Amino acid sequence: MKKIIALTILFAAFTSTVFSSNYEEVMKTNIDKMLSLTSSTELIALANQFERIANTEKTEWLPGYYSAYCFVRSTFFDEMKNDEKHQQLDKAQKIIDQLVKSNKKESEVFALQALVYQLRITDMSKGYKYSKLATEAIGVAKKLNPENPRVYYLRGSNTFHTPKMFGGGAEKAKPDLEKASKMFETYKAENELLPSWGSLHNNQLLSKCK
Amino acid sequence: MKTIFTMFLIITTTLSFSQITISGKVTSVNGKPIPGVNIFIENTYDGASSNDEGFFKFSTSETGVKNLKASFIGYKMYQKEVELSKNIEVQIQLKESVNTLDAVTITAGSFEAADESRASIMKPLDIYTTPSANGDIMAAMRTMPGTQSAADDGRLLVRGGDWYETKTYIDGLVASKPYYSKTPDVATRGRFAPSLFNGVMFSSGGYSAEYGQALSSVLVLNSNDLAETDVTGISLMTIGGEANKTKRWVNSSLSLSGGYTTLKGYDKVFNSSIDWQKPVEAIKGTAVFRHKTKSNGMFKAYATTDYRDLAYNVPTGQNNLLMLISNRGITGYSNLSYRDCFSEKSCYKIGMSTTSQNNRTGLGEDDIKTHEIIIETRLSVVYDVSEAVKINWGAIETFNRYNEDFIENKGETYSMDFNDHLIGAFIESEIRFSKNLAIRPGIRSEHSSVINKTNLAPRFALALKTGKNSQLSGASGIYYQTPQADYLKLNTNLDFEKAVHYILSYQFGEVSTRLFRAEAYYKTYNNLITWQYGEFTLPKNLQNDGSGYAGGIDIFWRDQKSIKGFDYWVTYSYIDTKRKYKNYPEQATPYFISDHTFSFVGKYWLNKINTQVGMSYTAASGRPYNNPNSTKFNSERTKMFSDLSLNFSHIFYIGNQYSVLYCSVNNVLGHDNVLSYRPSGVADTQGNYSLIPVKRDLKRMMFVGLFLSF
Repeated sequence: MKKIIALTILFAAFTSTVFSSNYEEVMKTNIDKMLSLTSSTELIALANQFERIANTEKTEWLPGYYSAYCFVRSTFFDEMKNDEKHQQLDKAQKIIDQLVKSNKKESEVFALQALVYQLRITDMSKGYKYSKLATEAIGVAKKLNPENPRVYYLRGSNTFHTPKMFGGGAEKAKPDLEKASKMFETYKAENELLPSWGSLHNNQLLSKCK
Repeated sequence: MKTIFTMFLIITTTLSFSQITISGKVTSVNGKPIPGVNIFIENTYDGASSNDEGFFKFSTSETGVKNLKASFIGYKMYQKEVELSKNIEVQIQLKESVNTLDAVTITAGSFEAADESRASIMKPLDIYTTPSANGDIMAAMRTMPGTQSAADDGRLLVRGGDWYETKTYIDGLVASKPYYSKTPDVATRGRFAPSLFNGVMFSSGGYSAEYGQALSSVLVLNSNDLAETDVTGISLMTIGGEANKTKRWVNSSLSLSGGYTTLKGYDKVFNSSIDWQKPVEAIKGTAVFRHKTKSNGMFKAYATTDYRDLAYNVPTGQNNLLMLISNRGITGYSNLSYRDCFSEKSCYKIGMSTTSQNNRTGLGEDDIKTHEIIIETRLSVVYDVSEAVKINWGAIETFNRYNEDFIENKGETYSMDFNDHLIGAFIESEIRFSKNLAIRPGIRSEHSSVINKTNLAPRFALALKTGKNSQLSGASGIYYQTPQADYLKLNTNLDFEKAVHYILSYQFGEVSTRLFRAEAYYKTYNNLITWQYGEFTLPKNLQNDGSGYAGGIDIFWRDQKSIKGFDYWVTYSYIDTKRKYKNYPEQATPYFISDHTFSFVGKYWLNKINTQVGMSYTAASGRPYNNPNSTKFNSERTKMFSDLSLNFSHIFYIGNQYSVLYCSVNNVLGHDNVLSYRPSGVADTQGNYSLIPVKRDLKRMMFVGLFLSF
């Protein structure tokens, strides 16, 4: 009997390690896949995949984070119409709301939140509200981790796209984008599952500042 | 031992090798395929997304009875128990959630300036950039249909209602003195700075049971949450100066500001139609504090106080005699509120607002000293019964203490006062039958201690979506208001004044592109206070004897899309109204009514020079006035009124903050409109009464301001 108990424990330990290494492996595969995809439909499907992982791995924040990010990323491709963009961002927002509730201390979640707000600005009339909200989210992200390069990239991008009339423009954005560019070069995430986006667009914006 | 190992092997192999395929199609209730739906086995990674035709397919190594789920935003979660022993094919029908973002919203009668609400037709920034508004919320709202232009008044006069029939609320609590004190012949303006608010809802009728004590209209101002950053501001204006400082901590923010206003310069430079003895001078201080609690609750405190002093002569119409009118007063307003949630489904708001005003008005040899305190306490709770049903209920208590000393000819003093406790409660429910149909029934009841009367006011509104961007709304309700202090100080044996509204509204388009709204309304008034002139020109024979009606059509069109960089809106209002109230001998159209009102506001942004130019034009047909020499009351009309105002705002930088140079000119064309005629009180020797024309204070007014922030 003792042996059976011992074995069951062993078995349980074995399966759980299988599952946890499975988690990391699955995540890694899907993150790599995400970076290679250039179709909205596929990214939305991948977002759903991450959501399924998130539903199972309730203690991890990264699956939900990537699910939201895939929805966000899907809006970059296939010349998506504004209505659909907002629908994908709505999905991302729903997940972010949950992430913020259960995980108040993750700088990256607030950085992603800021990105969602920025992408909401699909016409002038939305600018005032969402650039304000983005600024607030960037502020929180910065407070939680001042070493996060996405903080400066997002702040720069916010300023870059704000009309001069409201204190924005390329000139104003340059210092932040430059800082972000340097930080992206030296930034090393603690593990390879952590977010890495932003540097490409940052450099694009920076090249427009000259 | 061996058997256990075999078992172990069997388990692991089944785990990795037995595969079951699940496939099917996802559609909406009306059979349309839905792409991008997430279909999965609960608590596993296994699942798939539906393709463009709604088809999906995936395999799983799970066994036994499991939950198959399908989720998509805007739809209810699908769930089904499946037995995983063989391949499965399922047809999934998703039901639309009634709370989707594009669901119908009740809009009848309301004009919102908010950033994201579907009901909104203005942006908060529009209040600043409307040329005729000069930074006054009330004046900006006067470019909305259903309002009167009455340039000699400056207050909101909505759909036939007098100024006191519009109530202003800040964060749900009454602001009893939303305007600076009004004195004869001179227009007043709103007391509250637009920068404090991120949402303005102006309802020209049919508003919800949440709001009471307003016969015609409510203006609901929602204040900002935490300030964003530390900032210091200095404003230099041709009418004075202001300084403010804002400090932001992680969960709190504090803003302090103080200002001084004077119209002395204007009186010297421009030719005023008013014979100023002491042009308007005012000082003002404001403090705003915000704190976000750990539970995500929000505490707000706002306090403002101002002192204002002015004096001018008006002609009396008798032998070139003049009468000195003066006004001096201190007004304080504070608003404390806290909002938080009991649970995810139930949130509450508590608050208290206090208004106190000490005012001294001189009318020739007589002096009127008033002291008023109004304290309102309020609790309201919103409870989501289900996805489709929301209940909003609340209770209020408003204490009103009024005290007036009438000092006759610097001698005898007559005192009048009253206290009132108004207790009110409301309950209202918003029910969505589908995302295309919503209704909002509600009821409100109030008891006023000073008149010892109770009222019961049912309200109803509905909205029906007729297309992707179009909807039909209707609203109706009964509205009560306690008689004004001017009457209650003399006689408390009165009843509530009453109005009934019927509104039908159609809206098409979106505020960010093009929006059209047309609204037809009919209202009846009953129990309005009537009186006759008695001793010392004080009203006598006060009774709830008046009645009246108002009917009309309001049209609104806004276009931000057709011409790049150009944003404009056009409104037209037609009204037919008559009422017997005050000292009217019969039902007549009140003096502030123009039957036809047209207004245009346009703005254009010049990117190259960082400047926005704006123009507003208002035209209103002639207003009735009473010629005592004529036999019929209020039967004559003034000439048409028109005004063209222009402004420009130039943006530049100091460090990281932007500053603004602003200039506006009102009545550019210099029309010398007679706004109305005031009859003199006494006839001359031939028995004729002379009429005194009332014009705007400054024929052409120019304003220049430099608003620096750093």
